[in-house]
Amino acid sequence: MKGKLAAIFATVIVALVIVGFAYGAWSETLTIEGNVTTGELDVEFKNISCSCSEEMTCTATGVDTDGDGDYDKIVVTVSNGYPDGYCDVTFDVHNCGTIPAKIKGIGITGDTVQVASTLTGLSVGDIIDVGGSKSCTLRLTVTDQADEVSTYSVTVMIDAVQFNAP
Amino acid sequence: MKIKKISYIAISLIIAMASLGFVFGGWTEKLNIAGTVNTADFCVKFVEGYCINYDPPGTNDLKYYGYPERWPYDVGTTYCDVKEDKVTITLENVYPCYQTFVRFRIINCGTVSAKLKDVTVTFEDPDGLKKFVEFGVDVEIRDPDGNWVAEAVYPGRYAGAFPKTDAPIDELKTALITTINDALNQIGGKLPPNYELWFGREGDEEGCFGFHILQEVDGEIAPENAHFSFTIEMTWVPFNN
Repeated sequence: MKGKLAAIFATVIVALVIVGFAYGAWSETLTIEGNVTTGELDVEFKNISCSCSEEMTCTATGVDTDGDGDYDKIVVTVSNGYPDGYCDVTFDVHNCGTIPAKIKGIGITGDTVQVASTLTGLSVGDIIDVGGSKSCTLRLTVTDQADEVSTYSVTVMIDAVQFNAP
Repeated sequence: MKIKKISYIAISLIIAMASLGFVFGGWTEKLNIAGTVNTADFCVKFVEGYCINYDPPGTNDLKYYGYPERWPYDVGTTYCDVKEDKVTITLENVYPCYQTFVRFRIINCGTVSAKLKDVTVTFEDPDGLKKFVEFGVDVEIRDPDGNWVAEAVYPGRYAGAFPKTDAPIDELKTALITTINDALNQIGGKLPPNYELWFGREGDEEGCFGFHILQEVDGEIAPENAHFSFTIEMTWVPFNN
């Protein structure tokens, strides 16, 4: 009796194996593979320099605040300012990313009453191509509202977004 | 004596049976059935080398839901490589609001109807990009003469045969099973020989797979320099499986 059961069991296994093979041979597997890689939006300051009207001096230094290897901040220090005296900071805004950059906003904050700040060469809506640059000048003019022997600071922020951002 | 008698009887019986046997043999006919079975060819494959790519290298990018309008920039690029058993879609250097479409074909190249048995989808998302990737799919079926016979779209229609591209990529498996089976059910639940699944004849302005990159999800911005990949495996079997 045991022998019969074993024989039946073996037969069933053999049958299943055969059916399995047949099933394998009658199916097809199609594969779709998708890969998505995003680009990089990255603008930097380059070619930074500074010059002033008579008897005023300045320094302009690039700073890499996020450690990505390029300058995203310029620290300008003006000395011996006087009313109507000015310094011009020139620099390039360079697109070092892989996506065209659009200038979304330019903001100037700080002691703007005592230091008038004017940025030329760059406007909201400008698009900088990959590898391209915009040459800019930031003029810092001491107004007649400024006190003697005082320190004033202004901050100019340039916001860039990818070219297609609203 | 007794033994002798028995021997005679046995010999007689043998002779009689042999005679009967001869006679019986003479009254039989042999019937033969020669059976030949030719099995079908089960074949479902991509049409190799056929891919309509709406943002190939050297082409300015499509505007989001703006087809056929394009940006004056060639930034992102879509690559589409179609082998008989594998399609590889690659989106490179893409960015928020990037949208692209690719179109390819599956043909029943065998002699027996096929049905979709299973779809498996796997993801690799080392950089957290997956949740920013959306898709849409438009499934069409053409008969051997190229006539449109069925269609299903997920998650909805954008324009013509372009699908909307705002389904989360997590819904890829559901979308494929739903659309393919919906389309097949319109013609009896199976893909007959020489019928094509997806996407019509060359030159038709139709979409199949569409992809879109979201700018922001839950206050988080899509990561830059990020990679994400997915693999879809579709198992096709004979219609009666």
